Amino acid sequence: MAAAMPEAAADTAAAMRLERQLGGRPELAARFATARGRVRRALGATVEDVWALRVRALYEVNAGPAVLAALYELEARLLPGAEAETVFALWDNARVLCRHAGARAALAALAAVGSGLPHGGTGTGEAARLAALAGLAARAPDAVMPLLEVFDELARTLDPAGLAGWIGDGLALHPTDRRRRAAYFRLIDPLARLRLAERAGAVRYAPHEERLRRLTRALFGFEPQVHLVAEPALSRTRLAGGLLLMPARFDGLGGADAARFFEAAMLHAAAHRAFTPALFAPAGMKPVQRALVALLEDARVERLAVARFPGLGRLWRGFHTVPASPAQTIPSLFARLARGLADPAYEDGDGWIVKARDLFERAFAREPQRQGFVTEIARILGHDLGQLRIPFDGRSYRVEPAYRDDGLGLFDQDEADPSATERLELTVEAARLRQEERETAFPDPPPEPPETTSARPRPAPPADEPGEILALYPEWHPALRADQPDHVTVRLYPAVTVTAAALEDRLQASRSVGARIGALVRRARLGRPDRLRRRLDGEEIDLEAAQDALQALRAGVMPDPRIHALKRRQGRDVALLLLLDVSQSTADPVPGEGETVLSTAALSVALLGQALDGLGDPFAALAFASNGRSDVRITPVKRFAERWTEALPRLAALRPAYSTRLGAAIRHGAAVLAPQASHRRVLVVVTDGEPSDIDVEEEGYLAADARRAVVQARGEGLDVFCVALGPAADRAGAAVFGRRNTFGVSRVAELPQRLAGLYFQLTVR
Amino acid sequence: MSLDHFRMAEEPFYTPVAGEIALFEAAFHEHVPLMLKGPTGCGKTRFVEHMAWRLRRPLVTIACHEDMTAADLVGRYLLEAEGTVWRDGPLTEAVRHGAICYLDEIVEARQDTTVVIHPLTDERRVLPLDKRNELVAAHPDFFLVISYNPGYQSAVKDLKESTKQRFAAIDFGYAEPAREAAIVAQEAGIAVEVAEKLVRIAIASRNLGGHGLEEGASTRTLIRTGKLVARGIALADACDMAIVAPLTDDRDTRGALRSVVSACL
Ligand SMILES: Nc1ncnc2c1ncn2[C@@H]1O[C@H](COP(=O)(O)OP(=O)(O)OP(=O)(O)O)[C@@H](O)[C@H]1O
Ligand SMILES: [Mg+2]
Repeated sequence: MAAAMPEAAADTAAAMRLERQLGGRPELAARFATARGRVRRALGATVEDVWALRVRALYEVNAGPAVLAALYELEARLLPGAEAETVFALWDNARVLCRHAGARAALAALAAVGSGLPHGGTGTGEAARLAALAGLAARAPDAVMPLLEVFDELARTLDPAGLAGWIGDGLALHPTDRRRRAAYFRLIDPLARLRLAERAGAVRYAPHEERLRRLTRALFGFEPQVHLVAEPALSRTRLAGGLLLMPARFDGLGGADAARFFEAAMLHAAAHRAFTPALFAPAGMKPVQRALVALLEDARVERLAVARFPGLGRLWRGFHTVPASPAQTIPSLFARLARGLADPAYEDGDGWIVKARDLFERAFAREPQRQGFVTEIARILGHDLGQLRIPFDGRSYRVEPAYRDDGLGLFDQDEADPSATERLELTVEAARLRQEERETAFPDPPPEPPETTSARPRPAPPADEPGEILALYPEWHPALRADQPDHVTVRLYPAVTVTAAALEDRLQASRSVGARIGALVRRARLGRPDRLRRRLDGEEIDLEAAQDALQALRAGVMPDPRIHALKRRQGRDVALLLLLDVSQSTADPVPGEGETVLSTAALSVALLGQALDGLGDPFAALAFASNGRSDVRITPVKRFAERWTEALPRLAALRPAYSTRLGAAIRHGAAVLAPQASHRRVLVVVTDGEPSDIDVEEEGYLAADARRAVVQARGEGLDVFCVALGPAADRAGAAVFGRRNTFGVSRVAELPQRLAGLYFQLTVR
Repeated sequence: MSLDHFRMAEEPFYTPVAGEIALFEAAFHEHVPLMLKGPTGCGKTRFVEHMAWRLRRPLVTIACHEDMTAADLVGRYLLEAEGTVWRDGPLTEAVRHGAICYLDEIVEARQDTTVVIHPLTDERRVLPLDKRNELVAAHPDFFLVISYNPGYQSAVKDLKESTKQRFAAIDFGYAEPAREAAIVAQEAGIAVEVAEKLVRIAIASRNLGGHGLEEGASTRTLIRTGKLVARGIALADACDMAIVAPLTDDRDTRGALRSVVSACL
């Protein structure tokens, strides 16, 4: 950030003045003279004077000789390639750094920015990075040194604009708290890493999911089973039984390529599922051989897929970009071999690669379907690498291109190397999740006979066991004014089914309320068939119209030909999703009732559910609570496809616990409701207060996110309302849902009468 | 009134897939009404046309739709200068004069409409015209054929069990790939290799039936695509225009189909 200079304030003799000032320090003077000569030669005499002015300005903020020397050194490398502007920007920003953060920080910044700068570069990138650091120094000088500790990583991942953006994010997130700010700029704060990935253009799988699910089914005839894993350690996809573990995001991929990238990844995995029928036995194989088996098997299954779908060859080849080279390292050789096997036109003279391609081509031509030839060739090739003394480092090895799976899933786990246990745990975990998913998939499981679901009590997962991941959602950050993608993990916690006897008793006791609701239902249902008169066509003659027509004929006038009538029933077409807040605060007693907020809400939902069952409106209900952003807890009470009677025991089993991360619950509710085909889709949130959660301190943060979730749901055509419980709740509700869409029920005891009434008020014309 | 103009002049091109010709002939002679089951565009209509030609009977085809009323089938009183006159509907004409009557996509019609065919499908073989107080006995050569696509009915829009059970059924599917490619090549006038690619795309799209699509691309769709290709449209463009775009408006499904096309070419 260039601070204004006393621009050539008629001070054309700046250089000479500075020379005079340096008179007593011959060594500095000599360096200055050298640098000055270099600038004059490269940029000319006029520039030289403006330059000298900057040197002086830096000298005067007590930069110290080391800073000057560092800048001279940078210039020595840049000139004559760099423009004068670039050189000036370096001096100006160094001065800003010195003034705000001190000479030591300035020196460290110059060293960081300049390291690896090639001779003869243009220096624009370096100058821009230094400007970003100067900007930070001006606003939060304490943050400069922490950032410089991780500067190399930042520079590797971000371009200069990305760096400036990432710094801006940190300042927006932590404008005052020095300690948290330091944690951000040291990359200790997880949010800092997320922002880093975001600024680096991380691409995310989620937007491609539906398309790829269909594509896989179309080409291969099966549905891919994908599990998103929000775990930075997983940098490639991984096959796990029939599952595909998919990193939630890939860093450093251009967003423009994302659609093709995920397509390549998904279809590669599908090719394995179609053409790798058996797992390889890893016993007796060295790590390098295993990596080769994976590489060759990748090539084999892709070939088989290409034979059926030639276009896939084009798709995959697009990601093999490694050029031929004489390098004899594992990463280079493997990437080139992968390319050679995918692309017959690729030429590479390396002896090992030539041999590998030859062996593969022959074996594939003979028996393309036989997996075993892969192991045989891998053994030979691995042995050759040993002879060539090319070391293989299993820990740093990464499969290339990045669309391919990491290969671990091709091997029989039971025999696998124990050093990979941590990775395998992930795999096993995923397989277990799949098992659960089959039992509890949401929404809309295949219909089961009712007695198996309602009667058998299923134990709740132990409190410390996280539920299966249903979805990842973004969360709005008001300070950043940006979505934090995949920020919130929504998990499934199936209801423990207990006996609903108590709730049924209370339903009985509320019969009079039930009767009143019943009357509302009948009114809503009646929707008498309309008689559509004067139609061109119809089941019957509209007598009146026919009379008119006959008269017209008699009178010799052209008759109106619309003499038929039709009967049509104009049906209700409303789907409702109810979101029920079951956070800890709903354990509060309701004055004068001996009931809690939650048990009263449960009764109200039961009454409404009964009514809707009679009416036939599609209806689902979810309970929600949260325990930090990684554990937003959803408990399905009733799915759209289920009978109402199945929901009662689950409703009776709800227990208050945890907090209220409202935005995530709304997003999930909207995702469940949106696919309903009804003309009106109504989302009603029943809550008793403001959103809150254990990992959020900022006031208003969660409310801002919830507001955004509401706006987005409305954008999808959903009607979103809030039923706010308790004397103060309607104000909090109105802040999120808007006053007109919030219905305060200040005396919670009245909720049972009011909830169904509200619903019909909203949905009956 | 004669139905001569409903007679087939030339043989409609039809490649038999299995024994369907013999089955149809037997049903015709035994007066067993027939239901042709199968996805859209797989050749049901063409088959009936071919059979009408073979059996030398006029063919009355009625495309059923939701707003069709019983009057549209059996006839109605119309107003004319002298007052009201009765006009036979197409079904009544076929019944009186002994035609093959083909009710295409019968489930599209509302159930209170379809019940009028019931008395025609049992021993009685009569058509009551309630409004006119007349009972029309079917001509000996009258034959009723309906088509029924089990693929995309919702439970609401299915045939009544009592209706279904009155018919014998022939199952139609798309011809197996080689034969389908031959049909497409012949009908569209394109090379068999190109037709094979189209068929591969169609097979992939049919995997999406019930998963984003109601049904995949039909033989008819492929023929249409092939005709565009024969006119010099690039294969990929023709697929986009005649297969992908008409099948769906859903963004993800479209994206998937586009990728299918490029994978198959
Ligand atoms: N076996 C076949 N022999 C010759 N042509 C065929 C055959 N099967 C399909 N076709 C071609 O496919 C086209 C579509 O077939 P047709 O119109 O008969 O379908 P359909 O099953 O009646 O469809 P819908 O259910 O939509 O009425 C025909 O015009 C014809 O060109
Ligand atoms: Mg692989």
